[in-house]
Order: sequence, then structure tokens, then C-alpha cells
Amino acid sequence: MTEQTKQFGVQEWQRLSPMSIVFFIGKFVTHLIKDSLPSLAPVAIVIFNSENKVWITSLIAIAAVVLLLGGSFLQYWYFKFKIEGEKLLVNDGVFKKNHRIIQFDRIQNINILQPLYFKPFQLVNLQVETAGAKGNEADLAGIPSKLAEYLREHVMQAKQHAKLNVANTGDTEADHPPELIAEASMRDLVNYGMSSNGIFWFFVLIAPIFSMTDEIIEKWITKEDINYLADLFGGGIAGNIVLALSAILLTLTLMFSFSILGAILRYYKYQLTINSKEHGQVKPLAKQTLKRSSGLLTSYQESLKLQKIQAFISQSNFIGRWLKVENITLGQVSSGQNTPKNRASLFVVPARTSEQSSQLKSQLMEAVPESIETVGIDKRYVYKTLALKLFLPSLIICTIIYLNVNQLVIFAVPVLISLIFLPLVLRRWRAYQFGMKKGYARFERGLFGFRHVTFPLFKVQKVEVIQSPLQRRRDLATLKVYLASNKIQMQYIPMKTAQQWMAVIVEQIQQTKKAWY
Amino acid sequence: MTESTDQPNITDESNQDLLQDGVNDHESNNSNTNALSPIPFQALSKHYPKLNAFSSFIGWAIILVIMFVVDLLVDKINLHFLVLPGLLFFSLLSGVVGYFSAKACGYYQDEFDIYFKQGLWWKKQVALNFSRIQHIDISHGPLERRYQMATIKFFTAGGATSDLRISGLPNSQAEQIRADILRYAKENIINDELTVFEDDSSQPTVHSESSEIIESKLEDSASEGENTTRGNKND
Repeated sequence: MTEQTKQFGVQEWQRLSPMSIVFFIGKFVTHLIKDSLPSLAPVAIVIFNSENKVWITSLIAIAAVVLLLGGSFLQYWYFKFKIEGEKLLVNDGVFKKNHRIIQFDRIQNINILQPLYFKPFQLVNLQVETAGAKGNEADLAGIPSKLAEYLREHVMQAKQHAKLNVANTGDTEADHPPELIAEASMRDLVNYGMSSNGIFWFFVLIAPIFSMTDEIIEKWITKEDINYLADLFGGGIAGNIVLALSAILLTLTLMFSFSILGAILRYYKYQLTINSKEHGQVKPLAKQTLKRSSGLLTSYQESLKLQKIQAFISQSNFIGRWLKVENITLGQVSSGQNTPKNRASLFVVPARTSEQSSQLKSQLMEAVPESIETVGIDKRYVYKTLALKLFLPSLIICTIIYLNVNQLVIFAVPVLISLIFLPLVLRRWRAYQFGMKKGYARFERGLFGFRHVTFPLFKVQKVEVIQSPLQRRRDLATLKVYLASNKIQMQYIPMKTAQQWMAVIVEQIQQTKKAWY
Repeated sequence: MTESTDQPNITDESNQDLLQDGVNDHESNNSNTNALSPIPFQALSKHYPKLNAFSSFIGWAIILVIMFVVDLLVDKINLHFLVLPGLLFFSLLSGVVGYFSAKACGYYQDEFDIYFKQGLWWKKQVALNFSRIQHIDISHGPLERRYQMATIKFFTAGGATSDLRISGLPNSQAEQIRADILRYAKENIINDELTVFEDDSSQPTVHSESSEIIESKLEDSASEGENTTRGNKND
């Protein structure tokens, strides 16, 4: 137990700051909106069917506020934490008690967030992430920022001691200021907003709101309104087309604004630094730590040990391709779910050019080859996609239609569909590329955008070779590689190649005596 | 970065080169490099095919019995005359498929890895290194107990999809695999990430003495190495 631990008093059970009640209220409300809105329907029915609507509404409102405040207060009251040796102990829960013991060496990341309402009080939210947990293992929301920073340093140091037996020499950041390796200007953030898939998350987010309000919209926007608008644009077919186009344009604008706004909120003043030196010498790559700070309203400070990076993923959509930017995600151990929460904690480096991207890669991955030559997959992928995914389904649908309308010409549709999509299928086929070199592998795929994954072979968790009946006839196979961060696969490659890959990966795992995590 | 070539082509030579590139770098002369030597898979327990056939059959058969009883007892419901024979056919068919798919399974274990293959039509081969195993779980269902068999599940990092489950292993083999993995973990406490617990709430387990000794040794060495074991999540 160090002097500082005593100074902060964290060796005894501690409560969070009373301000954390605000955090708990926010958490409860977000949870309510995201997950349980439909369950409020009975309340709405009660209000709707009651005779004295005002009275019952105010009663329910008061009850809700009391419940919210009381519940949040109780959550604050029962939330306690302390540090015992190399462990963080957290007790919480009002009715269902949780007692968590988090060993420092299990902690993957420690992030420090400062939401707007904590700023005046110098408080922060310390998020503890472990590899196994779905979300954060613990949120210490409402502790002094000094304590948070001390805890982070303490945990990171303790981990180093446990794992590497490095003596603490008192070498501080002040002696070797971290080196800035990436930052994002406002323009970069706009680019990121447009080239990331944030535009599609717009729909995910508006979906619950939309399902709630569609009845209201139906009532508000009547056919007359639409006709009126169409008339405004000149009426008739032309007016309707203009109206439809403007609606699409409006949606697109909204999507992009939403995505750009999200990017700015999350990554404002983005800075990625690395502490690569110790006692004036460059540390081994595995011991270097990345630090990222960003955020407009809520400030985020996150750190990641280079050793923990499982894969270097650079991706972009069609707009990003046009803008010549790509976004980089550093794959970390995850529980595999692609939830918005998991996505929010992804370690992203926004809007890099391809040169910046390869430079970053060589800074973050030890001895990664500058380029890895790749080969494509078998052309039977094209036949299979055309036949099974386009021709056959449309043939079935057309047969059903034919039985009703009795027009032979309908059978031209499956052929037409296959022909129309052929260029896209070919493009996708060409984009599938894979290769390995000097202990690293590279998997590529894409259509309008692209996704390139580079990873050290020895970090693979599991390899699978799968052969479908169709593939067996041509001795082809699908190779699936499971990393701790994500799964990648390459289909329609020769069986022999797939087996060779499996053997090489198995061998790399056996022979590389470095910790993968 | 590499540009996508306009005409991807796969030649064995080019891939060989790429693979060799990957291997040479790590001064390997391990026998495993020879990818094309087939893995000498071993069959699972000799009782497993019939057991698997039975459990596949029983799933459909339960539905069949329920439908039959409903048809017999509830006046308002009159099933089409083909429904019951159809269900019987499916029960038998899935029994047959269950039998042969169990026969198609096989495993192989060497010093560092466990291999598993399965599938009648969609054939699958899996390789998993001992050092990537987070913990293992041995369970015995009632039927498995009857025939001294076990299901062993290997958990790896990175979510449920990257786990590996092998059913129908003879008990002794499952215990042996566990002991080997524990021994491996003990010898290689570099990753320090292994815990083993047994999910056997239903019944007493046959603990081989050796594995218990190894387990306790592992715990000892773990505590020496300052908490090197990974605890489970809600400890």
C-alpha cells in the first residue's frame, strides 16, 4: 500500500461523490428509453382511459420523479469501492447486491471520461474494462479526477510488475513526454463522419422513436398534405418525383449531419500519443502504451497497451474512398457482440490517408512487413453468388408470380437480375484478397468501400477449415480465423491452401513465445 | 499496400511462397509445416454414434408423441393423416443422420494443440492451441454417464463463436486432455490465463487423481506467480 493510496483513503470503503446521482439518473433514463419504452404502454393506457387525465398524469409524473430520485439516491448510497492490495473491490446494487473483485492484472483498459455535468466539480467517470465482460466491468462515476489518474497509473504499474517484473524506477511521463502520433482536425472529423458507418447507425437510433411516433405521423401527414407538397413542386408526376427526391435528399442530409455531429462529439480535439521511451531509450513495442484523448462535451481519455492489439483494421465506405481517407480500428479482446456500446468503446483512429495508415501500422505492430502480397479467391465464388443468391431466389419468386399471372415473359427477370448484378458480384470477387508474410496476414474484402485486416498470425485463437458440398466438388474450402477481437474468413480458396494456412497458424502459435494478450 | 489485381489467380506456387515467407521468418523446422500430411484423427467413443442417433431421434419423437396424444384426446383437433407418419419419418431420418454425423466426428491431440473434425456434408476442421484456452468445462449428461462419456468445452477469448465443444469423448480421454492442458499451462505460465472448473452440479464426477494433483500444483504455482490465474467473471 503506497502513501498515495492512503492519502486518497481508497484502502477503506469509499462512496462516490453525491454528484454521481446525476449519473445514475442519466443511466436510468437512457436505459428506459433504449430498452423499456414499450413496457410503458400500460401507463399510457391508464392515463388515456382515466376520467381525470390531468390529475392522474400529474400523479404518475410525481411518482416517476420520486422513484427516479429515490432509486438514484439508493444506487449512490449502496455503491462503494476500495482498493485492497492489487484488487479493486466494488459493491453495489440496491436489492440485488453485487460484490465484484477485479484483479488489476485482469483489467484490459482504464478509460477516464468527464461528462459535462462533472466538469465544474473536477469529477470524472473511471471506466474499468476487462476482457470477459460485455460492457464495462465497473463504472466509478463521480470520483475526483486526481484519484482517477492516480488509480490508472497505479493499476497500469501494478500490471507491469505482475507481468514483467519491472522495477518501478520512478520514471514518469514528465521525463519522457509522450509522442504525438495522430490527431484529427475538424475537417478530418467531418471526413470520418461521412466515411464511417455512423450514417447507418442513424437508422438504428431513430428506429425506436419512429415506431413510437409513426401513428402520430400518420395522423399529422395526410394524403392531402402530400398532394399539397407535390403541388408546391409543380404538381403531377414531375412534382411527385421532385418531392420524393427532396425527401431522399433530406434523409441523406440528416444522416450525414447526424454522423458528423456524432464524430465531432466523440472525437473533438482527437489526439493519439504513444510513450515509447524510458530512461532515454526506446522501449520494446510490447511495453509501449497508446493514449487517446478526445471529446467535446464529455472528455474521454483512454489507454491501450500495444501488446493488446489483436488486429489492425482499416476500412472505408464509398465516400471515404472518394475522399481518400480510411478509418482505423485497433482490434482488442472483445466479447464478440456488435452492440452500440461495444462499438462506442472501439479504439478508432479517424480519417487517415493510406500513407498515414501504413505509417501508423508500422508504429503499432512489431516488425510488420510494409506490404503483404495477396492473391484472390476462386472464380466459382461468382458462379455460386449468381446462382444461389440471385438467380435461384428470383426464379422462385417469379415462378410464384407466373402461377398467378400466367405470363411466360416473367422468367426473363431472373436472368436480367443476374446480369444486372454481375458487375457488382465481380467487383466483390476481385476485392477478396488474402496473403501472409513474415508472421503477419492480411485479409481484404469490399464492394464500394473496403475493409483490410492485418494481424499477427500468432495471435489467432482458433482456425477452422470448412468445406461445403458445392466446394467439395472443386476441392475448395472456406478458411475461418478467429481472433480475440473479431472473426475473419476467406471463402472459395483451394482446400490445400486452407490447410496450409491452418498448419502455418498452428505453428506460429506454437513457436511464438510472446504473450498474445 | 497491395493493389487488387484485376484478375485474381490462385496458383499453388504463389501460395506456397507466401506461406513459406510466413514460416521461414521464425526459423522453423517443425514437422507440422507439412500441411498436407493428413491429421490422424481418432474416433470418439464407440457408443457415441448410437447415443447421438438416439438423442436426435428423441427430439422429434417427443413432438410426435405430443401430437399423437393431442390428436387422440382433443376432439376439435384432427390432424391431417400425413402428419404423424411424416413426423415418424423425420424422427427416423434425424436418428440416421445423427448416427452418421457422430461417426464423421473425430479428434486428435498433440503436444500443443487439439484438432477436431465434424460434418457429413459441410465438413469442418478446427485447430485450437492449448495456450489459447481460457478455461475448460467437462460435463456429463445422464446418458453420457451411463456410457462413461463426457462433453468437453474449450473456452477461448473473443466470445462464444470461438469456443470449441467436443461431445462423446470417453471419460478417460476427456480427463487425459484436461490433465494435458493443465500440464501445458503449468509448464508455460507465460500467458498465465488458465483456470479450470468443472460444471458438474448434476452428479459426482470421476476425478482422476493425477489431474487433481496437477490442479493443486497449478494453483500453488499460480499463487507464487502473483495471481496468475484468470478468475471467472463474477468472483
